[in-house]
Amino acid sequence: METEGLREFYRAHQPRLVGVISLLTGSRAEAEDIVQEAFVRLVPRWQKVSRYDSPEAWVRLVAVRLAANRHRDGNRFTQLFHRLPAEHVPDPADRYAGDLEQALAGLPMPTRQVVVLHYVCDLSVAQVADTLGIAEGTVKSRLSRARDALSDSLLLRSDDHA
Amino acid sequence: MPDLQEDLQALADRKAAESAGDFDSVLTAARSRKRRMTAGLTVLGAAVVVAAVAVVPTLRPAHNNAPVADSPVPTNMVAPPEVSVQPNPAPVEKAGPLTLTSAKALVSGGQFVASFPDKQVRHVTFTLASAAKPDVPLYTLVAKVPGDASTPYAIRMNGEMGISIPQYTGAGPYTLAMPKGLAAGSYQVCTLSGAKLCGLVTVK
Repeated sequence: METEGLREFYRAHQPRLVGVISLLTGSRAEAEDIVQEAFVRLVPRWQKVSRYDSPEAWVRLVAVRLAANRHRDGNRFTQLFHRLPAEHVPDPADRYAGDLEQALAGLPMPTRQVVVLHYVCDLSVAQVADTLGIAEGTVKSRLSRARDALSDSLLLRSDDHA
Repeated sequence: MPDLQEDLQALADRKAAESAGDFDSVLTAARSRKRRMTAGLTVLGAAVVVAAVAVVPTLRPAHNNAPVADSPVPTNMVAPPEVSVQPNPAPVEKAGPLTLTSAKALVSGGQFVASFPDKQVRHVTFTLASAAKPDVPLYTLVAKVPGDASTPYAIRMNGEMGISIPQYTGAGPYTLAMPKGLAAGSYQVCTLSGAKLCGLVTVK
């Protein structure tokens, strides 16, 4: 019975969570691995987490932190061997690599987290601050910098459409 | 910036549509991880038990009996308690009932007879001490030996040396003579061989 409930939860939220995490990692394949790991961690805790108001928020937070950890570890690996570029390299398997995605990938990971949680997951500034454990002012400043950085890509797209 | 939000959500939706997930693999991974954790905890617990068993004996004081050559510090050798067999000291011989006859109201130089209730063979020598100071012998009394006319006599313990003592033993009774010039008072007479037997002699 518990497994069926968890299976339904997985079917309902796994694809969307992969889409969210893909914006953080820039790679859908890596996002799938991260979301898979988040759900693996959810299995032994499902009886408890299922009683939360928003079990999806728990899995999303785990996935966001895993993505940040991988990003940090990846940077360390890159800095250690100096052979791989420190900048983000889009996954060639991803078909869509538009200007917005590239601009997003160019943001620092903390800023990217704020952007994704606020604009994609529809969390308020306060909720983002609470989720990431940072001050609301920090969230606002990061959102401001992100808007400035992403505005160029949006203008480019507007020019293209025009 | 509604356009930014719409574009980001559209991008996320596009990624979500391309995603593929397998719930069964999630369950399998979770269960195998649980088994590994259980096995790991079991191994860890066993290791802790083994370590505890190995550590406990080392908490005992080390038996470092081997001396270190030129060591500036002494080894922590714990000297084993020395158990030596001490011979039992000679049993305190209590003054026994040496039977003395004609021992009351003796005059100085008078004779009396000592007999042994235990009928044990003893030498002919006895000690004479003041009853007030029985530990300080005053004379050695030599009992009468059959066929020796010089006996009985007394040897003063203040330096009269070189006097031969007849090597005679017997179960008694022995006839003893009080030294001449002895002050009036009570004196204790004790055997010098065998179980100590004592009796009181009164000199008037």
